[in-house]
Amino acid sequence: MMVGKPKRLGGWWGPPAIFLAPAAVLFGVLFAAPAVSSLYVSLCKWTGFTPQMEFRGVRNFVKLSGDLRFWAAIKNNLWIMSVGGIIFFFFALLFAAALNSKFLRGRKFFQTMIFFPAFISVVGVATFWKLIYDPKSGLINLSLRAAGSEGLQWLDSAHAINSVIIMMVWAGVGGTMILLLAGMRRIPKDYYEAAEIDGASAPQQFFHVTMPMMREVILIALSLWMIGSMKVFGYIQALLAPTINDRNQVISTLQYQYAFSNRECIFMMGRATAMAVVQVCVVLVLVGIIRLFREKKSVEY
Amino acid sequence: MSALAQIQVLAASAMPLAGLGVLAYCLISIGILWAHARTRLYPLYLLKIFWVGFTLVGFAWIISMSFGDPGPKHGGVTSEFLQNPAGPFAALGNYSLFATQLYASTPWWLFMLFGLLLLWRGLVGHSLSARDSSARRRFVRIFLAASVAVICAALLLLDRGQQRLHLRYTGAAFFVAACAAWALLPLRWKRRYGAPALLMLAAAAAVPVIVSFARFDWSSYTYVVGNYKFAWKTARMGNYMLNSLLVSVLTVAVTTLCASMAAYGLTRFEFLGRGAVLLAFVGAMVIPAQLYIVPLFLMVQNWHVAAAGLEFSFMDSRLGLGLIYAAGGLPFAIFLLTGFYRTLPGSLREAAAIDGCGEWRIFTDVYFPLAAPGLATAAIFQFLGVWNEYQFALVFLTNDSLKTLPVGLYNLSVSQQYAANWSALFAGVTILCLPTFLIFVILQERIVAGLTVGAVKQ
Repeated sequence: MMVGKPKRLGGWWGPPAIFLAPAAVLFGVLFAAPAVSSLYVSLCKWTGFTPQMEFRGVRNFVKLSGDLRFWAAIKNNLWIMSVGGIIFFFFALLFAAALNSKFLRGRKFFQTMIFFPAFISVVGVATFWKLIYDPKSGLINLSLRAAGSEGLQWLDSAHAINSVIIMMVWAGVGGTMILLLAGMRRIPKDYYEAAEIDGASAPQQFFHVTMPMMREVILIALSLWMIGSMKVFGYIQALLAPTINDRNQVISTLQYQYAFSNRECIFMMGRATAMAVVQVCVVLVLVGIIRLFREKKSVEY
Repeated sequence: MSALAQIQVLAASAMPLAGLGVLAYCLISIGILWAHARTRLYPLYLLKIFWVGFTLVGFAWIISMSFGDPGPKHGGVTSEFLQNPAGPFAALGNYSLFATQLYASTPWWLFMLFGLLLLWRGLVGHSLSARDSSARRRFVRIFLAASVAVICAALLLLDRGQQRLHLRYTGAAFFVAACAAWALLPLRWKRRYGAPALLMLAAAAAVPVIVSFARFDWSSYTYVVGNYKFAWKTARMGNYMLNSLLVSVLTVAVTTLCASMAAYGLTRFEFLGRGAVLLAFVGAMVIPAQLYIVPLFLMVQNWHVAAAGLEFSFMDSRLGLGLIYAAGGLPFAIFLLTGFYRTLPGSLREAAAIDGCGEWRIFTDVYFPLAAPGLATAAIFQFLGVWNEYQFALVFLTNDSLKTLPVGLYNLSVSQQYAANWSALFAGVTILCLPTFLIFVILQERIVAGLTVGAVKQ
């Protein structure tokens, strides 16, 4: 895969070390060291105000498994990942297929308008939607009321996660659409022509030619979505900030609340880090599952 | 409620306009697709039109609500967005009324005169044929322009007394508009009969609107600009934008430098454990911020350097935050750049080595400039990520004058819910989104290219 032979060197010293040094130092000190030490912190009890940590073993994890808020948060994460994922990929595939088709007018415009929300800051998107979702005077409820029905409570504790899903789909579909579009464009046209000759209609062409060829790209997009939906913090924090409650938390916001905000008790830095460790493990498991689906050899039909 | 108030409330609800707008947009786009593309229109594609329509309507609503009257300040929580039910349409409605009045007060014979003038000009212009000499053409043009000028001057002189002031402005503005339109028209339009005449008629019709804009009493609607000023000042956007810019530029510089060096080292040299190092960097993309933010916070809290009279603390500093962002952005940047460096030919290296360059020179003089497109893409992604980043800034910057833009907007949104100035919040969102939109439109090609390169190099 590499063009040109790289120079062979026996060991660590010399040029590679010099080139890798700045990145390695920065990464090691400010990223890897805290990440590794978090494994140790998760085993301790710590208020954060005193430098001492008490080693408690796996007690933090045991307490986590009994913490109802934690399980509610995981449930919300999984809900976002599954239901949100289905909606997200439905729209992303639809838009990618639509932009890949042969109509000429306005493709750039549609691409811009769909992709643009991905670049507004998370806080901007969340504030935008907070104003639109407002139950009394927001755009959606105004429209519903003018059309005759009662407005819905979008930011209620029962419906908040669904609103978050809609918001994440709106903001995120552009990037994935571009990715899928790139994958679609690489499919050679002969396959489509062969399918046409065989008499396939357009939906059939989509499901039997486009989707199998795009398997790799779809898996990449899927893993990105899974990682993102487990990591999500900004959207929920900024959308629901003053009224966030136990039903609406996600792992990241719950961890933020335990570690940094003063609402609850402050003895929970260790537990917060334990939560993050669990989060990483779940993500690794999911990515591993996805990698099982990848084919080892390139696909040829 | 009185009938007038009811009408005002109805006008204030965005739904009729928004609905009409969406409907019109959908119909127009369907029409365009049908007429020009001549493809089969799958019903599912309509979803895309509605999606984009919703985005447009949403932003239009936000922008129009930012023009609303926030009302007198009173303590306590209100959940109504607008104090004045007519909201953003009050200013627009009254202005339209005023412009219509001004328009209607322009005497009918003035419009007849303008129309005759345009007709005459069109006829004379049409009489010019391709065989006419350039001198004749020039003469005709000058004659026409001069005649228009004379007539407008006559109008100016005719207009006396305070109550006919608009006529003076109208004539003068028409004259300026006519000359400008004539000067700016492309050559082939000037030969046609209809287009210049229409353009000047449009200019004449637009003149009362322009005049009324200048003469309308805007003093009771200064809240329109006041909302934006309030949002800017309360959220300290100027200050925070500067902070965001400083942090972003610092991060991009550090990340690009370190990542390109590391990517070069990883692709050009073979050494023991190279695969492991690459895996470590790429695998770090999976790690969420939440995992290492707590230990990082605790580690960094105690880093102070006091040397030679300068005190530098890592915790509440933009430099520190920039370095933290750089460390977090390294995995993705290295991932992107290794893919890119692999496409560069290795033969240049041998050539440069023959010329006597050392390893470092080979990198700086040969490979680093070649990698410029990839570096630009990585820089853009890193810049956007840092500009929009919110979690780390929230945690690591507590000093109010050092905060970045997302944190500022977050504070605005939380605080304005209690101060009940919703219009300022709408204005704040608009200030955040519009420049992003413009920058995005400009940089869109580069961003899309960067994403697709990343997808190919799996």
